[in-house]
Amino acid sequence: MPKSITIDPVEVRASGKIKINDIPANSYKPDFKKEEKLYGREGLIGAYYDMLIIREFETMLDQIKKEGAYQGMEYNHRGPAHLSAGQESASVGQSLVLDTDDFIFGSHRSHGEILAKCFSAIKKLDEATLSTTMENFFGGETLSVVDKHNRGENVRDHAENFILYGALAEIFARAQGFNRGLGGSMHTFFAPFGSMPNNAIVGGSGDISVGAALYKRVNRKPGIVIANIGDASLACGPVWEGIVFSAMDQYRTLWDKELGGAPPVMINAFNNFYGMGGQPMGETMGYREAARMAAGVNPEGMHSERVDGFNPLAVADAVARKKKILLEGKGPVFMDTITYRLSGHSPSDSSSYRTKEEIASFREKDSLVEFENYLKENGVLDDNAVEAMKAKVSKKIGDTIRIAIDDSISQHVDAKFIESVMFSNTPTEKLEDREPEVLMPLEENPRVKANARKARYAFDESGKKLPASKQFVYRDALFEAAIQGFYTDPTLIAYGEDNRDWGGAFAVYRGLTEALPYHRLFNSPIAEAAIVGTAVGYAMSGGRAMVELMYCDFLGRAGDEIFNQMPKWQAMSGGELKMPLVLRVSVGNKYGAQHSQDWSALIAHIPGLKAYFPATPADAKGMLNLALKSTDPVVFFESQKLYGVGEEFEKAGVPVEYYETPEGEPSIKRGGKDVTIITIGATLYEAVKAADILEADHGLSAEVIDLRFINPLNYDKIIESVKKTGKVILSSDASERGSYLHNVASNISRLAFDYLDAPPAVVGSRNWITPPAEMEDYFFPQASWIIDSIHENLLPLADYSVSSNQTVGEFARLQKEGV
Amino acid sequence: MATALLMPKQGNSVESCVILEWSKKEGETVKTGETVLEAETDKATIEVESVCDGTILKIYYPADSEVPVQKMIAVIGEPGEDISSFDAEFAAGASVEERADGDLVNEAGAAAPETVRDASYGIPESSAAVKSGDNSAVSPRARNIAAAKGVDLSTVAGSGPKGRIIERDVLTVAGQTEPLTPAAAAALVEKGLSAPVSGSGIGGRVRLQDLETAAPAAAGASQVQMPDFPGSFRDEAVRGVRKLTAARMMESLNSTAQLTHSFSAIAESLLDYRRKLKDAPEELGLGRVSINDILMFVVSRVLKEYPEFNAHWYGDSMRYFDSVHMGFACDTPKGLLVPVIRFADRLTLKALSDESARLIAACRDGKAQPDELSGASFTMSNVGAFGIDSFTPIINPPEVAILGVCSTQLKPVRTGDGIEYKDHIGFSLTYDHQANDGAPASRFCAAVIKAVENLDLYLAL
Repeated sequence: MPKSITIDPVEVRASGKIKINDIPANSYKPDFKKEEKLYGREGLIGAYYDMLIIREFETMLDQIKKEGAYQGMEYNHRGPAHLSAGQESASVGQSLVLDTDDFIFGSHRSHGEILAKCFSAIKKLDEATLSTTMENFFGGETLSVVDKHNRGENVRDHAENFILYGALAEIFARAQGFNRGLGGSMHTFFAPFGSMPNNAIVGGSGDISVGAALYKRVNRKPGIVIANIGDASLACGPVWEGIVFSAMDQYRTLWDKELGGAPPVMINAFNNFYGMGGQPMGETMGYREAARMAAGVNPEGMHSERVDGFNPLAVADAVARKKKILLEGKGPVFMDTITYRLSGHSPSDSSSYRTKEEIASFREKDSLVEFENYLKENGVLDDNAVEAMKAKVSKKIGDTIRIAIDDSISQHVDAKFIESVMFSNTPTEKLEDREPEVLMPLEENPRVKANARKARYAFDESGKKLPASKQFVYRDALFEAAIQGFYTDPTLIAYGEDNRDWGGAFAVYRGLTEALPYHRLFNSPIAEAAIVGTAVGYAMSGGRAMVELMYCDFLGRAGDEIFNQMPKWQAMSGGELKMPLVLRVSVGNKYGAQHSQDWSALIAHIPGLKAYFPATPADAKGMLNLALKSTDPVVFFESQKLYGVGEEFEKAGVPVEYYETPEGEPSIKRGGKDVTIITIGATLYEAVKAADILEADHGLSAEVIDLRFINPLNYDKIIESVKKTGKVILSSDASERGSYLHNVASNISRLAFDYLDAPPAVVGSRNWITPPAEMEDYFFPQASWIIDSIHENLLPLADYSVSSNQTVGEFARLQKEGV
Repeated sequence: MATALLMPKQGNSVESCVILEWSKKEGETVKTGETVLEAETDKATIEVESVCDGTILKIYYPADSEVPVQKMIAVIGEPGEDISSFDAEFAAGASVEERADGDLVNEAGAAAPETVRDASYGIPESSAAVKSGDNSAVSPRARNIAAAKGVDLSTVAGSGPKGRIIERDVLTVAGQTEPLTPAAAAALVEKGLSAPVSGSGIGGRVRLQDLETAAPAAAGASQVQMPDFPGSFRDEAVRGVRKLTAARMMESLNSTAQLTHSFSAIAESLLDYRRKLKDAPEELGLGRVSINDILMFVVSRVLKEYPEFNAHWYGDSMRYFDSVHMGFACDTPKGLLVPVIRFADRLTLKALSDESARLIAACRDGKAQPDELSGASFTMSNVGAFGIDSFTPIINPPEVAILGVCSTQLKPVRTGDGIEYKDHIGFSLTYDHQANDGAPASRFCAAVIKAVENLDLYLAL
C-alpha cells in the first residue's frame, strides 16, 4: 500500500448508496446516410465481401470435415475445426473500425476474426507496406507459393490470396502456414496485421490480452487490444483476474499521468449463447446478460454494453466508441456482442442440446442475408453484383484449398524443426534501444550503496564466518542482477504481490521502489493467473517481464498460464514469437503445508520451460542475469532458506561486475572422490554438512554437486563425477515421490550404468504435508539422512549407527502406504 | 566339456588380428583370465585371455597367422577329451560363439544366498550373468574393475548393501600394483629381470617385452677384427604394424591412380598466430597447440567446401562425409600409426589440439584403441620438422587424398617496391585420379593456400 493513498475511517464508514450504471443493450439505430458517409460505399461492400469470404471459408472446412471434399477436391483433415458460420457480422463489424496497430486476441473459434482483421488491414495498408510485409514473412516462403500458384489480380487481391493460403495451410498443418503448421486451427494468428494469438484454452486470452495492452501502455505503443472470448469463458477465474488486473485504480491514481491512463484493453464476449453444449444464459451462469458481468468491476462498470452482433454496423459503431474511451486511457471496456453459431461446436456436434426450431429461427435471421438485403435496399448492391462476388469468393477459396492440400507445394515441417522452435535461444540484453526510464542514477541508489559496503565472501581471512549483517547475501545478489536489468532493458517491468513499497515479501526488491517509476515496478492484485497471464501477453508483444509468485505453492493458482501459455507460444507460433519472461517463485518453509513446497518437478515436466534454481549468491546473480537476457520463459526458483546466506563457495566472492552463469551447467561446490552428492536448492547446505561428517568420521571424500539448472541440464560433469566415485546420492527439499531428482537418478543409471557401484539413491522430503516450523526436521532432508542413506544403500560405513530409516524395505513400505 | 577360445572382436572396424605369440602351448594348463596369446590388429596390441580353466587341447593357428575376429583359435578342456567336433567346425570354418557363451552360463553355481535383510527387495538369489562361485550380486562397477584387473569374482566377499560386491571389495583382492601379464610375471621370477612401473600392454600392463627392454644391456662385446663380407646380419620376420603397413601401402599404389601436387603458402600469419598461442597466458592452456594442429584445424574447415576430397572411393560409389574425421600420421616406436580426430570440423582449435596430443600419447604408449585408429575421411602427414621440401605421401584407401606438410622455406615474393623474402610452408597433396581430376585438386590446393594465408578468418569458423 502506498503511503500517498490513505484510508479515511470517516469516509469508508459513511452511510449512503452504491450506484451501478445502467448498461445499454442493442441501442444501435441504423441510419444509412450516416453509415454511407462514415464507411463509404466501398467500405460497406468490403464488409459484405469479407463476410462472404468467412462464410465460404467455414463452409469449405465444414464440408471437408463432414464430407471429405470441397468443390470435388478430396481431403482428410485430421485436426480440429471449430467453425463460426453465423458470426461473421460480429467479427467483420469489429475489424471494420480497427487499425493494423490494434491487436485482437481470440479463442478456439477465431478463423472468422483472423480473416476479418487481416482483410481489414489489407484494405487499410498502402500497397508498398503490404508487399513488404508479405515478402518479409518467413523470408517470403509463404508468399512464393501464392506468387507461383495463386497470383492475384493486383497487390490487394494478391494479399487476400496470401492471407487465405497462410490461414488454411496453417489449419492443415503445413510448413508454409502462418505458424509453420504448429499452431493449427485453434492457435494460429498473423501478428503483422494485428491478429494476435488465438487460444484453445477457454478464456486463455482473457489475461494475455491485458498484458499486451500493458505492453502498449508502458512502452507507449499505438493502438488498442481486444480480447475476443466466448460467453462461457466468463466463468473462468483467469478471465476475471484479467479483468480485475485491467481495472486497477493505480493506472490513474499513481502512474505518470503523461503515460496515458489504463491499459487500452477491451474484453469482448462474442456471446453465441453456448459453451460447447452448455448454456450460460439460463443454465450454467446466473448473469442473464453477459454485459452484467462487468457492472461491479469499477465505478464505470467497464463502460459495459450489449451490442447486436447480427448487424456489422452496430458492432462497428460500438467498437469505434469504445476505442475512443480506451485511447483516452479511461478503460478498460467490456462488450457483450451477441451472435449465434449456425454450425455445431465442432464437426462431431449433433446439436443434441438445442432444437431444430431454434436453429431455424436464427437461420431466418442470418446476418449475412440481412446485411445483403440492407445493402440492396439502399442501392449499394444488386443481384448481379452479389452473384459476381459470390462466384469470386468461391473461386478464391477453391484455389486456396487446391494449393494448401497439395503435398508437393505445401509440406509438413520435420520433427527436427519442432525441436528447433521449442526455445528461441537468442540472448538479448535489451529488447528496445532507448534510454530506460529510471528515477535516479544507479550509483545513488541507497541499496546499491549499502551493498557496496558488504563482504562478498562469507568468511574472513581466518576462515571465520562474518556477521550476517556484513555479508552480501543471496537476496542482495538477486537485487544486483535485477537492478542491472532495469537499467539495461527499457522494456523490463516487474510486478507481483507486494513488489513495490514493501520491496517484495523477502526484501529482494528493497531499493527498487526509489529507482523505478510505477509503470516499471508495481503491485498486482492477488491474482496469480493474471500475474503470469499478463506477463505472457507482455512478453509475446515484444517486452520483457519479470513477475513473481510469492510462494512456489501459489503456482497452482496460475496453472494454465504456467503450463499452457508461458511454455507453448514460442513453438506454437512456429518460432514467430519469443517469450522473454522470468517467473520468480520462492520455495518456502516455516509456514506449514501450503507455503513450503518445492514444485520444481512440475515445471520440469512441462516442455517449453526453462527452470533455474540457484543456491548461492554467486549463482543467484549469474543466473538471474542469464534469465534476464534470455528470450525464453524461465521459471526462476528461489528458497526462503537461502535469502540470508552469504557466498560460502567462491573464495573470490560474488563478482562485482556483470557475468552470466553458463546455462545448464551444474556446479561442483566441493571436489571429492568417494561418493557424489547431488542437490537442488537449499539442501546443498545439508549436503556440505554431510560431506564434512563423512570426511571427519569416515575418511571419505564426498563430491558435492549443485545442479543449479533443472532444464536445460548438461549431464557431462555429473557423469564425470559418477564415473570417478561410482556412488551417487541425490537430495532436495522436494517431496520424494515424483521428485525431479528421480529423473536425474534414472538418467545417471542410463548414462553411466557400468560405472555404478550401487543404484543412485534419492533422499527427498517426506511425502506428507509440510508440518509446522517446530516439526520441519521430520520433513526436510537432514545431513544425517544423507549419511544414513549412503550407509544403507551405497557404502556400508564401519561402526556406524543410523538415526533414520533409509533402507529399501522401509522405502518399499512407504511406497505401499502412499506416504 | 571343452570350450572354444575365439579371437575377440576389437572395436567396430577391426576384421582380423595377427597372432604375435602364443604364451601357452598345447598341453599347458590355463586359468580363467590368464593370457593365452598376444595378437595385434593394424592399430594396437591385445592380449587374449582364457575364458575358462583347463588345458589347451588344440591350437588352430600358429604365430603370425592372421585370424578373422570371432574365429575359433584354440580349444581348452580336460586332457584326453574328444575335440573332434571342434576340429570339424574348424574345418568347416564355422563360428562357435554361441557354444562358448553357453558353457559359461551352464557352469554358474546355484549356491545358497547369504542371509539378507528385506529379502524381497534384496539381490536376486542367482543370476545367469554371475560367474561360477558367485553367491551375491556384483555392482556393474565392481564387475568391470574385476575384469580389467583379472580378479576372479568368486574369490571376492561382498561388503556392500545386502552383501553386494562393490568396488572396494575387488580392489582389496586385486591390490594396488600395476598388473603383469602371466608371461611377464613368470619371466620376472625365472630370469631375475626388473619390471618397469607400467608397460605397453592394455591399461599399462607390463608385458614380456617390457621386461626385456628394461633389462640391462648385454655385457660389452669385445673388439673384433674386420669381418668377412658382408659381415654379420640378422633376418627378422616382418610382422605386426610393419607387415600391415607394407601390405596397405602396396595395395594403395596398386589400386589407385595417385599423383601429387606440390605447392606452398605464405606462412606469416600461421607463424605469427603460433607465436601468439605460445605467448598466451599459461592458464589458457594454448602453449601446446602445434603448427600441425592449426593446419589440421584450417584444412578441416576448407574440406567442408570441398566434399569431394573428404570422401571414400569404393569403385562403384563414392561416400561423401558431412563431417571431417582427420587422420594424421604419427611416428611411434612400433611404426607408423594414423590416429583419427573424429568430427575435427566441429572442434575448437584448443579441443582439436588436446585431442591430437591425447592420441599421439596413446599411440606412442601403445594404448591407442582400434576405434581411435580408423575411420578417417582425410589424412594429413607432416614431415616439415625433418626439413623435407616436398614428397609424395601415399593415400590410405578408401580415402581419396592425403595432404603432406613440408618444411618452411624463404621464397621471394614480388611486392610494390621489388622483392621481399617471406616464409613459405610447403604442401604435397596426393590424390586419387579415379575420384578427382586435376582441376578440382588444384582448386582445393588454392583454397588451402588462401586459408593458411588468411588464417584469422578461418579461426572464426
